[in-house]
Amino acid sequence: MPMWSVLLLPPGLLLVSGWAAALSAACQAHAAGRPVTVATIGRPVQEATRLLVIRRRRTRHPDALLWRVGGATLLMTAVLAAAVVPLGDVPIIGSEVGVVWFNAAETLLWAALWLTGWGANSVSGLVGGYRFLAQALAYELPLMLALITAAIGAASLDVVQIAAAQDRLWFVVWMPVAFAVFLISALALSFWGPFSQPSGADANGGVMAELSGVDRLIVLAGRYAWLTAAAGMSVPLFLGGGSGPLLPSWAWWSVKTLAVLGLLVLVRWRWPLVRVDRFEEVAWVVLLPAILVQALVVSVIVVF
Amino acid sequence: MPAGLAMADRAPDRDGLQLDVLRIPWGPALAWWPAGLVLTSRMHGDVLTEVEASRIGAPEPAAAHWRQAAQVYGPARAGAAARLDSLSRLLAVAGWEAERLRAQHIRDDLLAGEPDLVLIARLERLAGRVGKSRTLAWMTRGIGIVDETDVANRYLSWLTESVDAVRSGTAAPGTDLPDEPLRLLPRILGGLELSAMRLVVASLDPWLTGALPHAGVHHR
Repeated sequence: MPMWSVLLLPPGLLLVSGWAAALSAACQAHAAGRPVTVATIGRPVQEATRLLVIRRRRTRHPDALLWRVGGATLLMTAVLAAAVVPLGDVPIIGSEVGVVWFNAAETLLWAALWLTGWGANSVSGLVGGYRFLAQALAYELPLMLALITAAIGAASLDVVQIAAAQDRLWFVVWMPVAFAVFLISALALSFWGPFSQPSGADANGGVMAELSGVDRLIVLAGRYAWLTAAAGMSVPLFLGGGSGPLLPSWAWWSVKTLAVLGLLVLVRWRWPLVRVDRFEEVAWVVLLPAILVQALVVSVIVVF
Repeated sequence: MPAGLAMADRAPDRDGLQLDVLRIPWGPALAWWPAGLVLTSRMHGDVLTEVEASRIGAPEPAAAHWRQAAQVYGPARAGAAARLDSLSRLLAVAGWEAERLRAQHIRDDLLAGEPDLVLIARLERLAGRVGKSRTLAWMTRGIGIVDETDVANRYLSWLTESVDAVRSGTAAPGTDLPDEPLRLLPRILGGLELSAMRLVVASLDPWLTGALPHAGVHHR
């Protein structure tokens, strides 16, 4: 892709994130028994404008630099991770090791969210930051193995080649455990839905507790952007990229990404929260062996 | 001392490790918290030890409100609405936002005089979803044990009592606590982590706010 297309990436990512936010607002209104109107769907824009103009609230003696670095890193790594996702056939930044790039951007979340929680000098933030670290400890290995499994299936770490290797059969068909683990990790890394304890109501908002104004907007935008980037990544890894009859590849990729993103958003309004300590147990005792077995099966199939 | 804040001291925690300890008050005004309750605790990380419970303000802040609701809408509806009110707070701290919004909506409609048939159907659907949720039961099992009932038993009993009350039109008798909740809390909250503490407090919410009577309180 031409170099100037890099400038289109942040606004494009935020646009799709805005769609996800609007869908979430509609689900919230439906659950509360209110009718879903244009005002409901426009609520994310209204909230974003409000956060842009509102005055920031400060805590006593925060570490302002690291606090803001945490929030900015969350948003920035989402943009970096989305850069290697092919929009149909071609990514904005082509890379022979796109899978590793995505994973590296994701590991920066550990630092980003912990700093967001710790920097505020508040008990609630600190509890939220540590909850995210515990959750990251749970999902990180299964996520890495799910990414590696897709790479083994295509014998390449290049995301475009992984998508191209699925022209006969999508990976989700013969490595469903890896797809499920990837989706669970996508929910966990953006602390969304069942894995939203790092920003939980019982800790007065957790990492989001002391955020206000522009800082809050950046962290919220980063959270939705990561959900979008992970959903976008799942399509070339497991759902065949842009393949499909009739429509061009970018259209199919968009449909599939919006479908996965919509599913991830809906999960929040359907399932209860899973506490981090319980999830930790399940992740290490159930998910990790399952994805290891899946990787073994895929390796055997590829070799023979 | 930077900015006038004392540094965290060190003390052995529940596993005997020397960890930082902070003296943190929870309450009297937090989201989804029984109004006026103050829990001062020593926190090692997010584990609470040495909890002291006290109250600021009126002893049972919501009792007068629910008595008035019982006079206007009948004791059955008021009792069901009070239980749904506490259930919504428990669902909020348990993190299940969708069901919390639905429970609040049914509570509001109960106190707005909506017809019985519609509300019974919605209540039964809520009881089905929340009552049969294995995840929520897994999260709340085994904590806050009072009189052999844990948090899971308590919210399940609220659901069945609400449905029965609206269906039959007679008020459900609430279960009694063996002791005053402020005296119970320090005993059952020691060694719990933050999320478990919030769940236990939310499960004792009807007695802490005065929606349900407990042993030793005589209503005039």
